[in-house]
Amino acid sequence: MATHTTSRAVKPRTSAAIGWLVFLVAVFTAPLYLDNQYDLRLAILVCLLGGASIGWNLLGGYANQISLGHITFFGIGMYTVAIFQSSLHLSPWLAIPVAVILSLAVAALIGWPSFRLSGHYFALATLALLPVSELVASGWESLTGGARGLSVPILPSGLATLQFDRPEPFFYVAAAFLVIVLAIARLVRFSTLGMRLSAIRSNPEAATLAGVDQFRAKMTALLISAAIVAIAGSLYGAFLQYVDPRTAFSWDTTLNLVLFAIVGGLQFWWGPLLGAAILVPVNEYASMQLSGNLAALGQLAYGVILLLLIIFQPRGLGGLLQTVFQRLEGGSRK
Amino acid sequence: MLQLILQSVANGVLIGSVYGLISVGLTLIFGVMNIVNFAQGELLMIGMMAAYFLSGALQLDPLLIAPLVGVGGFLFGMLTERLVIEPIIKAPQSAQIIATVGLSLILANGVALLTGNNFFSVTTAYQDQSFDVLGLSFPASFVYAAACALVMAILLGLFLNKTRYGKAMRATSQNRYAVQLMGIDPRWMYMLAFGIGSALTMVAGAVILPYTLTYPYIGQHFILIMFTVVVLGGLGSVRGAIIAGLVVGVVQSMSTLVLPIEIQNLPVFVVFFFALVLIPGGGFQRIFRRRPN
Amino acid sequence: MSRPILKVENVDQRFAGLHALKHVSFELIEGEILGIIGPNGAGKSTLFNAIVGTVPPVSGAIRFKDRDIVGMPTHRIAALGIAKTSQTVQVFDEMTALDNVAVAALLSSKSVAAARAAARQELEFWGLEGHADTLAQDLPLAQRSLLELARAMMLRPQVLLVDEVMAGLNEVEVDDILERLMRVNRERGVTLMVIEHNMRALMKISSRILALDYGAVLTLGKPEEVSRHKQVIEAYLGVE
Repeated sequence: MATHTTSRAVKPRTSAAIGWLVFLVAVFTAPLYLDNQYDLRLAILVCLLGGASIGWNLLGGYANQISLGHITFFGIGMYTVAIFQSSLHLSPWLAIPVAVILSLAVAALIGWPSFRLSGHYFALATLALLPVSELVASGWESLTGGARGLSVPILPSGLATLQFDRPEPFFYVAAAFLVIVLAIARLVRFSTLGMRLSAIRSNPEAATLAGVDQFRAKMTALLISAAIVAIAGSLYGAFLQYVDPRTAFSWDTTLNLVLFAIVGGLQFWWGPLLGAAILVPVNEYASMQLSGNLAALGQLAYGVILLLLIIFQPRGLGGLLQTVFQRLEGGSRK
Repeated sequence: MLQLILQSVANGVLIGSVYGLISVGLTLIFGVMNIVNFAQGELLMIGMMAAYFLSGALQLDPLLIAPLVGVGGFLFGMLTERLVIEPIIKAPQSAQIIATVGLSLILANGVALLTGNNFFSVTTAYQDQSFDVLGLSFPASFVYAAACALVMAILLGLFLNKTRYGKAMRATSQNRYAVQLMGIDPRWMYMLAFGIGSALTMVAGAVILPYTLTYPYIGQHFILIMFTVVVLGGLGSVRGAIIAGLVVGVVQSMSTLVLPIEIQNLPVFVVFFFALVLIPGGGFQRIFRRRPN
Repeated sequence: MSRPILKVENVDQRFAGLHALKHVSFELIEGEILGIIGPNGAGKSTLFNAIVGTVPPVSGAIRFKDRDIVGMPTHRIAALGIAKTSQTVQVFDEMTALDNVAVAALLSSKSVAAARAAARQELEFWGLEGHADTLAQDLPLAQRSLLELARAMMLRPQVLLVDEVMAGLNEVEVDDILERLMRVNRERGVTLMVIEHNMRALMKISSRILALDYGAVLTLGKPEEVSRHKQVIEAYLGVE
């Protein structure tokens, strides 16, 4: 697993750097070759959901704390933007900080009691967040439009409103978001916080004996993670221009975040992006082909994939790729 | 007014006893195997579905079908443990959580494919009946369900206290290595625990079918209740689950006095939150003295 | 300098009906090596866990430099100056030996690079610098035990609790660890408490020995006296 062993030959470092440069170029020139609405829309989803999953992974993959309710922050983002744009007539850019602050508050509220206990409690507590959020959103009609949700009115096109005539500009916003999130994920990975989280993941008891303040490390990761997901949700809300309790706090999307990370590789900072890049198109394709009763088939497949991966290839595709590259380089690490 | 409150409490106790039955399987599994089974809600759903179809096929009341469902649930649980849980029993916690989440997906959607995403409910001879005692009215289906829950609780108690395997289970939840000292293969323990845990929850499903409807995704609906009960009672404590079930039942029931029925679960979540906050102190039961891993 | 650095006062520990520690009281003198002996289940590891707060005692006080640390979180106790190794070697399996120790250096380093630099020096003391880039899970037992000690020492503790670190090692390895522990004590001024079943080793390095049985203190004194103590001999029933 890619721990903090970076003291290797120069060649892998530069080739990795070149790889990322190519990636950046490919991403920002995407509208050139993804020249239809449908593909661009998929790309936007990959950026937003992939970014959210990367955020989730800061806690899930780095520290082994599985949050099953991260979509709460996503939904808070969606609702905040919708409310700001439709009721308050304010720019979504103002909504984003508010969404982040709200999410941080909720995150702190959930993390504070559960981080002192074993990881099971955290998973349970976050799972409970979803139905409650949905309850609040459905119940608080005056604010959230209740079960019917809110529609954002059509506003003049432009960066201030995040509404455009064509999807390209929005894609750039989403891509910028993704790149920033990737940078944050990498930064955390190789920072002192990242080392602490790795220790916690590897052996929580030993980590404590080694002086690691588990609570503080996990809480920090949670807060960063919540903020990232909140922003992703905000952008998604601006993109969709609509929100309702079921879309905002959807169990499906929660599973998606987790699945992307697992498929791509929990322990890689770029893992969830890989998972999203593969699964988002697959998802869309499947939901077009399978409708009605057959929709359950897609979900069933999800479950099976999750199970198989976790049993047989817990390091995901990223792990597979890493093994392949190691063989190619004649690596002697494991 | 007083009568309203008393009635509410009475209903809460009846419903709560079933909540206890639903959740005790989850807590038993955790106590013995240190795994939180996120698919427990789906086991409940399967119990309900099985009761529905069997009672239709055999023309019997779901309550009479319950023992059958229990036996089936036991076998199903053991099989599931062998196939799905065993491979991940030594895996890190996160892997276990993800695996049971995957299992819940498979079960819920598997059933949905088989039966269609419809609502199912039964009509029973006694569904409009109620017992009137001391000015309070107890719906018959609630009473029968609670009675079954009581019977199951007694049976479970006997099993845990009087049989060799039962005592071994209690020992395991206090000290994982104790089991090996008693000369029992831990793998059998796990299968048994999962089987019993599944059976209990499925019986609960059969028993509540008379007063509630079911559909393939109802498992998610019960999750908040189950988790609240289990956390309040202490993960792994059977006695705690039963008591906590009553508490949650009453809280939920009484909340409908002041809140609209759609958000009757909000106070339950508040209880959940407080349980979480209060745990590290003595907690509710002994269970948190043991090492989690 | 023979003042007590750690005072254990009337410490009791219970687990679901088992009275694991019974009014345990003693003082740890600064600079000494205190050996701890007792049959299995006597409460030795339980005592260590109580001191560092992994499982705080139900009653009693533990004063480290006159400050009661009962109830203090373990990571703070570690930062304060008491480090502990575990009965079964606890390392970060998926991390390299260097990073295993670097984690402990994070308390006093501002960056990962600085932590690693400090860790490298610590590894040298333990003879592990050649294994710096090896994953902990690939190290043999003796090296893993040394690694755990290195990590504990990286915290720059004043008191080090060593729990059966010689289990599973051959004579050469045992002598090696003994030597290093004595160096830790003499050259780096760390007070040691050492739980061991290997009596030969313990007699060699301890200035005093504390004998426990069924959670209670049997006796505390010089090694020769303790080894002749009637109850101690009975408790061991001829083992060593």
